[in-house]
Amino acid sequence: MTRIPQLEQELVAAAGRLGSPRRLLPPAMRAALAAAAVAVVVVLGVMVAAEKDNENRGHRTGTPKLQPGARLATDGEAGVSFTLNDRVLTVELLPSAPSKTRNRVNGARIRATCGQGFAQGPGPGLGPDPLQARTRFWPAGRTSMRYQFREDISQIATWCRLEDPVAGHVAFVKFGDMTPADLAEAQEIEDTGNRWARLFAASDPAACEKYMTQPACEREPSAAFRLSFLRARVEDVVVNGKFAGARFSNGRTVLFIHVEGSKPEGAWWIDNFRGNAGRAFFEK
Amino acid sequence: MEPVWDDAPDERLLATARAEPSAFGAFYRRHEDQVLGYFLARVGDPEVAADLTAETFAAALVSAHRFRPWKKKPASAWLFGIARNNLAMSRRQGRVEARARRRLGMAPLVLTDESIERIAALDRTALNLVDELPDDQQVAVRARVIDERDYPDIAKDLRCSEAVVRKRVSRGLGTIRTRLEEK
Repeated sequence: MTRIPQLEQELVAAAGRLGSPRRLLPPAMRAALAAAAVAVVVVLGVMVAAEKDNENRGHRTGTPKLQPGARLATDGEAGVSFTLNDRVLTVELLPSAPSKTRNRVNGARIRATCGQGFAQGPGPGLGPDPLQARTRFWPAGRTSMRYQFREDISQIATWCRLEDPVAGHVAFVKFGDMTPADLAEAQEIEDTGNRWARLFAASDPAACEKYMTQPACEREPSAAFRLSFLRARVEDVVVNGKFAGARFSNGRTVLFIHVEGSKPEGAWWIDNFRGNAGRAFFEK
Repeated sequence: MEPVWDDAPDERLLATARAEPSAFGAFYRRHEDQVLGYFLARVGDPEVAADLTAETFAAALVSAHRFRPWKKKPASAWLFGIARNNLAMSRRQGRVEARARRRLGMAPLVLTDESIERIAALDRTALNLVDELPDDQQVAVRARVIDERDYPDIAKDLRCSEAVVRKRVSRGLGTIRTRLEEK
């Protein structure tokens, strides 16, 4: 048995994906790609076909799937996401995390606490005692940390906080707004966004037909804008009623709208991708 | 039936990795302790060492098909070249490099407490094993692997030929690897 069995499994799975025939392009096509811009379109076509193939088989999204019952919330200002699953709280610094947050946690002993009452807001030492607390050293450079509590409080905790026991508050989230239905919606939006991005980058009409509202379809973006979505993945989703914002790994945000009638339970469509569409969802 | 790769040479494991993913699994198992130990000795934290190890093997996987034995250097030298670059890059950026893992779509590493303990134990185990080597091998291994000095430089200090130093390092590492496998 290895010291990190998960890593061995991940590497073998990744090797399998690399070896998949749909990932390989013939040398002639690679040469053509370098030689002519026309070939770029051909390659995009191949990649889109592969993506469609993926859709039929089902595939992994950019972020790990949430376990049923897991709780997820993000402190947008601090740029920190919290995932509470069973006894384990995983705290992750998002790419958008400001240097203030990074400087606070790097090389410091950081305490994670979760509790039930909503009496306390951001800031240390307020309100009743937390249900669970664990302090760990946060090594410089780490972007995520895992806190294992003594008991599973995932179904009763309503908030979690990250703090430096000495210097004070780092991040705070409430889980109250995130019901299991919200989590499922966020996952659906992430899947939709990832599928749309590849098609959209390749100017595939299916991007419009399957995933975009008519007003969004009518907007004609620049080629550079389209191409920026070629390898982009959804990194964060915020749902608010019938609207949602999704942030991609290329830094762009898009606005989703929940459309009734397309499926019995409705579906999430991209309603706007221009300018700052959807960005407000990630700003307090 | 899945081929057994544990006895295959590194070069074959790397060349076959894409066609037979389990071959890369064998490559990982063979070098995991050495790479983890390398990082642990330098960063001192099991979790950071694990992240650096993950990125190193991911980068090795990405370029495995391009690996060609050069000047009879073993694949482990190539792997440690990647590890050194990875460490230098991560130090420069102030965070652990993750480009190769992103490229491969690998999930972030979530370590169990047991894994953290096993990695931490490696630090003590590996250092103890270095101490158990015969004196000449111990000096050579420490100079080459821990202090990262060049062979000519070590040879000059020890007043012997470069080939002798290489042989001592190779034997020392071989002994450590065998004893780690026994544990």
